[in-house]
Amino acid sequence: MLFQVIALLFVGILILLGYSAISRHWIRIKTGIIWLVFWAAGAFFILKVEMATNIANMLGVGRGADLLLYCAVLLFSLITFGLFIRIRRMDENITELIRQLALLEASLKKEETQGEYLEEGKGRSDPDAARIQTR
Amino acid sequence: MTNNSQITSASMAPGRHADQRIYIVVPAYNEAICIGQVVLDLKKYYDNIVVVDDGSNDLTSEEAAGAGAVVIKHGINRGQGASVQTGIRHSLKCGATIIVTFDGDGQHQSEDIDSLVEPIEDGRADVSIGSRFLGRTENMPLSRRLILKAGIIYTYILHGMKLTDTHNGIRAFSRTSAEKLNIKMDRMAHADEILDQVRQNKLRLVEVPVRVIYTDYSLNKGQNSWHLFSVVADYLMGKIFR
Repeated sequence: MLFQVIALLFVGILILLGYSAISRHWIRIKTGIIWLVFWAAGAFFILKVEMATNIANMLGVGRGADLLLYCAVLLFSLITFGLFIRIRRMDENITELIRQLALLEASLKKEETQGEYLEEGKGRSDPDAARIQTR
Repeated sequence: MTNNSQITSASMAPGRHADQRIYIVVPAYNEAICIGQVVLDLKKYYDNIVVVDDGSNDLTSEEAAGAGAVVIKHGINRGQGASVQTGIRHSLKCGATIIVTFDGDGQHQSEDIDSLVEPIEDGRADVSIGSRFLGRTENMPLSRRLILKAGIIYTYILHGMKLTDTHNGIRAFSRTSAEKLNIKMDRMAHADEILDQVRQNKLRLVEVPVRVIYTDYSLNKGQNSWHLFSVVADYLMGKIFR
């Protein structure tokens, strides 16, 4: 009984957080609703554990709690896997961006120094000109 | 040092490379202390040195440029694999015919590059890798030697290739094999990734004896013997969570 109260409070907080995330446009409405439904289902099964046990028995699992656990594990491992893939691809994108930026900077620097050499030939009276020549 | 003497010394070195455009890619992270000397040693024999500064917060870029290298700097540290790939891409853009990777911490000898380039020039191989075990080693601690032997067994299990030295950063690639490379494992696992891609593309690989000198500086820099385990973990993680 005590656990049910605590758990329901927790789910209530989650739902509030989810709702505020949606209203602040941190996540899309569709996504937010999916999570809210998920948490509402969690709340439902916390209250009516007998329902979970009925479904579990139909599926051949001993206890309702076990069934919920199995489903949660599978769902979370799917989500985690997806996140790993996303992060990996983001990493590769970041490296590619850094690479292109670095190559661009290098070629700009090269153009700069080549430009100075060219201007040298035109007879610029520049105090730095002597330094450029000896480098 | 004027340009003239540089050109002279480069063509006095193994001159049979005259019709090859050899680019040396040197990935470096916080190597300001020795990168200058590394570049100067390379400049004795080769014209095109590309130092890829992987987001150092010391004067690595300035030291390398001062010694005469072309410097490409990553704004953020991305790892040795990423640096090598950047250097390769730049070299290909510049029209390189042979691309050599070379460590920036002074462990490798620039005199060894010649023996790496030779099989590729002759057309006997597409890729050549330096091996510590085919050549002499100096000052290598026994614990490290044993762990490297274990690495050879691991390589055979994972890659199906019998190599005496698995994680050696001194390698040479023909232009066509460099074009086929696409290193995505940014950090230390890129050495394994290169071997995988060599096998996938059916490239011919030879091992060449090289000298690797472990100075106090390079030993302290953090590649201790247990490093190999984190490299293995990194590689497996990369393979699973691609």
